[in-house]
Amino acid sequence: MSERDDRDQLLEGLQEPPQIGQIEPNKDEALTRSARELKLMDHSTYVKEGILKNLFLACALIAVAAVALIFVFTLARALPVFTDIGLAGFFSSVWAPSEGRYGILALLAGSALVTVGALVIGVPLAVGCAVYLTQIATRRVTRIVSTAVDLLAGIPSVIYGFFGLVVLRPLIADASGGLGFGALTAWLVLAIMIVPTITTLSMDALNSVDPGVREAAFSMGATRWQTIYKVVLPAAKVGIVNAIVLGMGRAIGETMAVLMIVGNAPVFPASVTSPVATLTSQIALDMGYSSGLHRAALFGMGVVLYIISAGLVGIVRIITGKSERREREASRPATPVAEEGTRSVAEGPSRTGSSAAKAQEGSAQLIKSRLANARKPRVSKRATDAAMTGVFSAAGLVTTAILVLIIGFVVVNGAPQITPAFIFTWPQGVNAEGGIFPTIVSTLYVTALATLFATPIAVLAAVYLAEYAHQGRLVDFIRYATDTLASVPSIVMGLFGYAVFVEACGFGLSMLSAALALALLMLPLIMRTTEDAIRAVPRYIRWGAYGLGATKWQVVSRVVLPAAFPRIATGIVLAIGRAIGETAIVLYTMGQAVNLPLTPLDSGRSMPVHLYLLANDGINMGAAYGTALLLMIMILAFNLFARHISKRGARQKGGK
Amino acid sequence: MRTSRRHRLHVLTALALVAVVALPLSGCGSGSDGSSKTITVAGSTTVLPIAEIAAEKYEAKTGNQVLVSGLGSSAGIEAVINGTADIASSSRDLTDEEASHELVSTVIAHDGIAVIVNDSNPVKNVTLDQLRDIYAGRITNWKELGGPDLPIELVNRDEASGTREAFRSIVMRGEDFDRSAAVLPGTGQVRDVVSRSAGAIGYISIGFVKSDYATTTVRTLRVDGVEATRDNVSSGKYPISRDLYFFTNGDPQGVAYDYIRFVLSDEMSQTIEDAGYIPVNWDQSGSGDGTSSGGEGK
Amino acid sequence: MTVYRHAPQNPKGEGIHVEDFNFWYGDFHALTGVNLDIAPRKITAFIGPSGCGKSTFLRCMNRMNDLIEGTREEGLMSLDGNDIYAAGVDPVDLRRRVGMIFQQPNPFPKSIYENVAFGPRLQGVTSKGDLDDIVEESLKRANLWKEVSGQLGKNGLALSGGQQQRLCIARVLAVQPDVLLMDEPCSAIDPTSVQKVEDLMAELAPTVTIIIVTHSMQQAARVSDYMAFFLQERAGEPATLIEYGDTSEIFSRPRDPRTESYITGRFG
Repeated sequence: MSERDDRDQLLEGLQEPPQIGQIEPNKDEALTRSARELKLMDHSTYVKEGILKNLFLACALIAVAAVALIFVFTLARALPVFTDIGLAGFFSSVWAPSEGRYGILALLAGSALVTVGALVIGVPLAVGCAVYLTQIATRRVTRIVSTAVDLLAGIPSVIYGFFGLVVLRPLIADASGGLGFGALTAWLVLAIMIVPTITTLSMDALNSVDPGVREAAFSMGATRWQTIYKVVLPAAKVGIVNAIVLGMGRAIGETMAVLMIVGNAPVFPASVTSPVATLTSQIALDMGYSSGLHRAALFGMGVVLYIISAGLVGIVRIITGKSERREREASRPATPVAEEGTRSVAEGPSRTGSSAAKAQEGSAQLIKSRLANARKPRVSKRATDAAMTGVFSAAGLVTTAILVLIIGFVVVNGAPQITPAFIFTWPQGVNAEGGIFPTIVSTLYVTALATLFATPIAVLAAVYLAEYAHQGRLVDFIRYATDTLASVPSIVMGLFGYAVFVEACGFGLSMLSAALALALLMLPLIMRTTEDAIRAVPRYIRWGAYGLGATKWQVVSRVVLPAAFPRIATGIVLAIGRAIGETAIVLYTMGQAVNLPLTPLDSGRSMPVHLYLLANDGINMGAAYGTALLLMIMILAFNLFARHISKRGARQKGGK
Repeated sequence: MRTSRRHRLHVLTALALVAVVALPLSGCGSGSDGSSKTITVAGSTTVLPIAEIAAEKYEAKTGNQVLVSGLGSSAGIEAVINGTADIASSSRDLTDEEASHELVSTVIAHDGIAVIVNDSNPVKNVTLDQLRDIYAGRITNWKELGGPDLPIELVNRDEASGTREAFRSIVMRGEDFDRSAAVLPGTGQVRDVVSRSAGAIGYISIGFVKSDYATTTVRTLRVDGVEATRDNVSSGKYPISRDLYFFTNGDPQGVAYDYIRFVLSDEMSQTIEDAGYIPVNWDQSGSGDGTSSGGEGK
Repeated sequence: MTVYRHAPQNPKGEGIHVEDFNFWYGDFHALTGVNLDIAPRKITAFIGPSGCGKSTFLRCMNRMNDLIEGTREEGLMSLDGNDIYAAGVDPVDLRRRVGMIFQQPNPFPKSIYENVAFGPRLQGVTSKGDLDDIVEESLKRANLWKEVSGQLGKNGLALSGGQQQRLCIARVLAVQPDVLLMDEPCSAIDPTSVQKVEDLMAELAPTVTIIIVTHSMQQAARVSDYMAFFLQERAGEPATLIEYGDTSEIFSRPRDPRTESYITGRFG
């Protein structure tokens, strides 16, 4: 910390590099002497370091610019709806584009209903799972289940939607007698989808609870459940609440899965098994054919979604900021509790042994009698402990079972479809018989392009945040922008991509448009992991390099980045996994026609979009299963590869 | 004081750099080219599969490229009017406003929309008026149609669907759909949902009533006493039927003309049937009961 | 191997009795053949170089090692005549009777009051009056009452390191333990606070059995009545108890040459 500041101050001080001749010999003896004896910083080094620093800052500001541009462009495209029908019309209850009525209240209600239900189911499951993994399970089980959780997080939403549509929907239809579309189906699917987010973040929070506190509770005769409930959970409260808020953001912004299972009736929900619509599902459903005011209304809904998600990120920051402030205050008391002076000063040489012992005896007796007043609990401690441990273990088990179920479902149905012909030939006929080759190429093409755009900017931006920036308001702001960018629902990113890259830039429905929009999705993911990775590089490694006379950039490029590489690579690979499975963004930026892209301006149909369209048609389901399986294999492979990189990195570090 | 100014300077420099990076993005030119051998077909998602396959086959035959996109009938017609597309595919006729432009229409296929219910549903016939009342949300129980005491579960299509548009104009006649109906974005889904829910009702193209892909079955309702068969659609007896069109700005020329002729040729008939529609050269006598299955798997 | 065993006078069979005790972390045999009796209501110090198993042995006494995966023990360890590892013994209840103070003060991130009331609440004390009494008396016993009486609502983490450690002692005293295990309780606090904790131990000894693990020979000499020396002679082999006896006697006349070398500072 201080080290970095020193370097910065050195750079600051040399902003205008002094020239030797300028220093007046008799002005300050000490200064003159040092100027003679120490070589001044080379002008070119100074300029180079300065340029690099500003380049990195520019990269960091791209995230800020993106967040601002997304808002501005979406709002600009939405303006007609605000001027033509007004806020009152926009926030009214009837959504009927064919009648020129664009009230979004029913859609908002649908979004709220779907989100709240998903949280009610998902939060206990996720927090329970996190508690089980951090507090109860053996290390082996933790390793297996947390892998399962990570893989669940990697499965693209279109596969969850497909699973909900084909497996859950008929079950709920049979149980309820209705069609099976509606909030209940969405609850189950969204709950599964937010579990990984909440579990992973809650685990971080629980793991950061001081293990000493946990031991202390055990050593006082607390059962495991009492320790968890009374000590560990309260200590991790802030982190868990943040996890839940972010999970909520994910639920509100989820598009494809919801679109496939809510039934898309834009009315106030009559029951949990009757069709409803959400903001996201309606945008995705209407975007393809809407025009004029209707399209403006969709962008208006995008603005609403944007504000909700940015607001949730703001809430998280406020909660975290408050608790950090409180912790700082607690550890540095403004009015320290006065210590009693040592006995020799305050009370003379020694309390007489017998009187002290008598006092101890008296106190002990009193405590004993008060403890005797304790009431026996109605349920024995041990029973409660066993029951609660069981509940938490069940949460872990359920999560793993869900993963197995979903993967099993896709594998069993998809495996018979996968032949060399399926992978390497074109779809034929109206029902997409044959293979899916062009969609595989399109997916890889667009993902590679997006990675190419996002990675350098994200890594350099992270370098700026972690190595160069003064920890102050600017960095806070950049971080807030990055978090907001990460939380922008992908359908809003898709709207933005359509408005800017497809239309304003004139790239049309193309690989380039989709890749630029996807890069915005990847940017915050890579930035975050890279910054964490850089920060995790021990300070003394840097000191060593500075001590040998390396410049800042030399330290960063030759010492810090190589040391942080495994974790950075992990972040990049995980971001690639996200991009491969992303549907809502590419749906309206890349086009939907099957095409083998050659130039970046070619359009195409990605695998997730192909799966979505096949599932929607509901005719050639075999091809849908096959596509889902291939897609899942690709993403799981990327996820496992990322785990492998990070594990190898950890091993190397451990070996040194 | 000094530091803060310094800081602002950094930010300004950085913003300038952002601008430099952003410049090539904003200056990007339009992506279309004027190659004489390439035409663009835009419009109806209903017609999309036919247009796409015709494009593939036509390309393979002639080497001329046909780019097909499905943005909806309205968008396609707009694209032809403003010149960004050569052919608009549409599942509806022109509106008065659209007809004021010099558009030439070609019927490429007929489509009949079958009203489907669950196999277990004893109701056999509805009138167009009853159908309208059902979809407007006025008739909500099958017992009002002489069936069992069972709530009607409405299944509708999404607004981008040409089938919905045709159903709306033929059946609803200006009335609005009950907005609490489930909106499904695909024919197969409508069929599957109706086949599994006792009280459900939906509508799909006749060609998809029987499907080689599906494991479940649905039943069609007679509309005004007329069975939903291809013959009845072709002969014009079945009331819920429509035509699929290509529109061009003026008479089709060159590659566009060639492509449209190819779509109308016998070579495409089977594809059009596979897609669930009835080719314009449909032979009434040669096709038995006329409900031959759509979507033949290869 | 000769084990010097010293059984302090113990007519009622009170205190802790250990016979041929062995302990494993997974495959690693950490402790072997430990035999000793701990005198009730006295202070016993465990000394020895790092890695000699003294802390491990201490943690066996309230079964804290149960919380670590893959640990295993053999032999007898009894408290007041009852085998603490016998089938059916509730480790949770054992830990209430055998309290523990750790090297790093670890108050809960709660108020001072809630820290001390934590244990009694676990046991089902709900009356505000009872809790108030217990909190006050426990803090008094820990010699902390005078410093914090006006600010019981303050976060426990706001106290100084030494005060935090005494708060932890008060927290344990609030559940009326028979035995107090102290694992290097003074290594993370300042010298002034060390003296307070040591004074406190002396005051508590007549009512509570205290066992302290310490690296400081001086501390062991100052506070303990009895002393046990543990040693792992070669890496990879289990550690064991080398010598056990009167503190003054071990310091003046160690019977084992290894003890003597350690005391005179030749290793450790």
